[in-house]
Amino acid sequence: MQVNSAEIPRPYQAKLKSLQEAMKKEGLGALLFYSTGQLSMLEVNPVLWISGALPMGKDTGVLITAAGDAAMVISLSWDLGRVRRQSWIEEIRVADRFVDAVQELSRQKGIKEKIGIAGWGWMPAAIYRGLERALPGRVEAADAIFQSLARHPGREALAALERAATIADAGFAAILERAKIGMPEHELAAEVEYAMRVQGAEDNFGMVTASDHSHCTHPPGNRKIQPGDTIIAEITPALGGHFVQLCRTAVMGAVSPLLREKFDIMEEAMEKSLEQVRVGKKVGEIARVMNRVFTAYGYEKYCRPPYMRVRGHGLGFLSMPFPEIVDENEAVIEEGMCFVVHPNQYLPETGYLMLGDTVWVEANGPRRLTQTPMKLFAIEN
Amino acid sequence: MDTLHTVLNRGCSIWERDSLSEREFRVRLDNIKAGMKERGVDLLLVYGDSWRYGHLAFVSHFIPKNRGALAAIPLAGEPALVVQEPSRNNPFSKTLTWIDEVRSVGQFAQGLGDALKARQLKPGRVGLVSVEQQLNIREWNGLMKTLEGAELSDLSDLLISLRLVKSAAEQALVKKSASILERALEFLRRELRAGRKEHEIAAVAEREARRQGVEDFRCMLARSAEPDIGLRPPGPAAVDKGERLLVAMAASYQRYWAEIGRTFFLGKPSPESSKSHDLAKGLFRRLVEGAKVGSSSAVAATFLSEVPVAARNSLVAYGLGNGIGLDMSEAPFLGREDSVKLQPGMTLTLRVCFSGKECGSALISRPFLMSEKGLQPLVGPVEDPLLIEGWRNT
Repeated sequence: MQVNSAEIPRPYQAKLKSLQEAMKKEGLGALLFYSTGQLSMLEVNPVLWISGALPMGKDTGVLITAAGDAAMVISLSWDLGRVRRQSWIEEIRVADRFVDAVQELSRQKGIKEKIGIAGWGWMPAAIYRGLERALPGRVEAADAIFQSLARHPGREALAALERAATIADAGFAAILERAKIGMPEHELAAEVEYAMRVQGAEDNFGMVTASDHSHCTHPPGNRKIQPGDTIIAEITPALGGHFVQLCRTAVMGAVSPLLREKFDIMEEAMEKSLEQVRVGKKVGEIARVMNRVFTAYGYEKYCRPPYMRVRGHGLGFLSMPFPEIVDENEAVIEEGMCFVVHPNQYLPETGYLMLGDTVWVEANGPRRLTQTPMKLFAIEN
Repeated sequence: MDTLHTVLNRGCSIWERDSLSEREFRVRLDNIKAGMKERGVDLLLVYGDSWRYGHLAFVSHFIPKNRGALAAIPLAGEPALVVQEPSRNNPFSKTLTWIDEVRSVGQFAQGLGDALKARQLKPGRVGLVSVEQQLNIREWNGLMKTLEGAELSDLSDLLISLRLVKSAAEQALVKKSASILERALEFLRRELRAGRKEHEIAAVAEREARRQGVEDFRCMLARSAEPDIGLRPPGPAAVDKGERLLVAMAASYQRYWAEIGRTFFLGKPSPESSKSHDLAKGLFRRLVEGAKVGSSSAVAATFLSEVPVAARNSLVAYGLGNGIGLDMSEAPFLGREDSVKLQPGMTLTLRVCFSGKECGSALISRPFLMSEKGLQPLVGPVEDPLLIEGWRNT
């Protein structure tokens, strides 16, 4: 169905224009944006990015032709109303057999050239191999095309990001208010979840771990919180397709001199790494500076696997500036990028400690989105 | 039933050996190996991801938190579990499975290659379960290089058949999930008030379920005020007096799911609302009556032809019911062509759900255990709509 471009919301008009230019350059007849029902915080979701609707069900795709036609294929007929409400795309088909539906769309739209697949990296082998059989020699990976266009959330996303940051703050505040000796770890996580859900968080990449010596953060178990436990929290609410991550550490009781001393290193690493978040600098420098701080205190070995590797990352669904903050990342920081910087670190004397914030890159440096102080917290109760 | 997936399975993540012993997994392994032997397969690969992990959890009890994992089961010797995760997560992953050999890797081909090398195994015939269907093409290509020369065959039917009837321990876990959901639904009922936002109401139910130790929780709802939109995740809109609200919930406790669904009338129901729900109640009764030991899963829905077409299409789309256990929706599927005989020990969700402009809306969904005596409900009655009286503004 030919879409009247004037009726398409402005952000999608811009996306379509860029995609059409890219298709022309690459000699593609269409782009197929694909997603399974599995969602990831560490990826831009191709279907959400192009359609505005988060996919539900086994296979969802959006076909954009070089001429600018758009058609969507979903798998759950009862979900049609939700998708119609969320998406600008008018032509939406329900199909149980995704490959057949794409083949039919390709035929109806007279696509003779190759079809690039955005979301190839997540496409199940059965679907890709089915498309290869249905459209022999005409499908190829095209993740790079849309990933290059999805590096910035856009200024229009700032309100949602700021709201998500407020929700993340509320999530951590719940730990400070609710954590009690004897409380099972998963009950504390439930309080964190509630504090954010009740404010509208749509999802959460969240882990709360309480231990006298953690090796990493992980989803909660049923261990009961003990005096002197260190609680590490990775809290990542989503709102409007955007994620904001907050990493913090709190102690049940008074902070020991040893933990204070070690957390000072974390704070130093955070402060110095944020100084590297400047337009034009390389992403890898953030990690290198962080690692230099820990190395200076004798922890070089602990900056590498199996202890540590990544010093932050992009946050997905609607944008992803780059996947990981690691030494080797040569990507250049740009204004309007949004990512999390975290010197989370395993130290042999204290176990795993967490500190990290999501930053929005402005012309003169990073702007932290959350308000929770960047410090070690003590919970006295 | 499908729901919106989450980016992380982040609830209480444990393996309680008192609930599900290693012996239970050993019995499963023996049965799987018997099936492999019968089909001449010397290696079985079972894949699962954070979205669909039923087969993987059946063999390993492992649940991928946000990516995927691959169980490698040689015909002789012990299995290995290859998990796509940072190596520092390895100790935690080991707490979730009975399998000793857990390899945390970046790429599955690397982990599988190392596992095969350690066993000096070059498989000639490899059985696959959920690998091609779920593993992404990049990882698949890597695996194919590792398995070069091997003959591949799909063994999904073996795992499906072994999972149809639940052991006593599995039944207890489904029952536990069901009882948590029943409690969560009661918390939701208490929270329903005019002006309360959908996500506020759902958050109360979710908190209670997570406090009780669920591993995952899902909530979907549909409102009579928006008849074109079916079940969906809760949003920021406030509920209002006079509405009909359909609430579907699912939760898993130690990998085992249950589902429950109920209709709420917010104030006195309209004649149209009552009519819709009476239809649903009648259909649900017939669905329960039709589901008997020895009957076919397809036969359970013989009454469909009598249902008005709009409601019938919606009923079929949501599904009349299915097995429930390690997957929220698994075989047998009621009312479908792929007929399976209903047997004692199956745990089932029976569901009557329809929504739309032309058919009104109603939801009744309840978990059952199939016994020799027939269906045994795992929660109290949900067939009658809940009338929220004493309606007041917050």
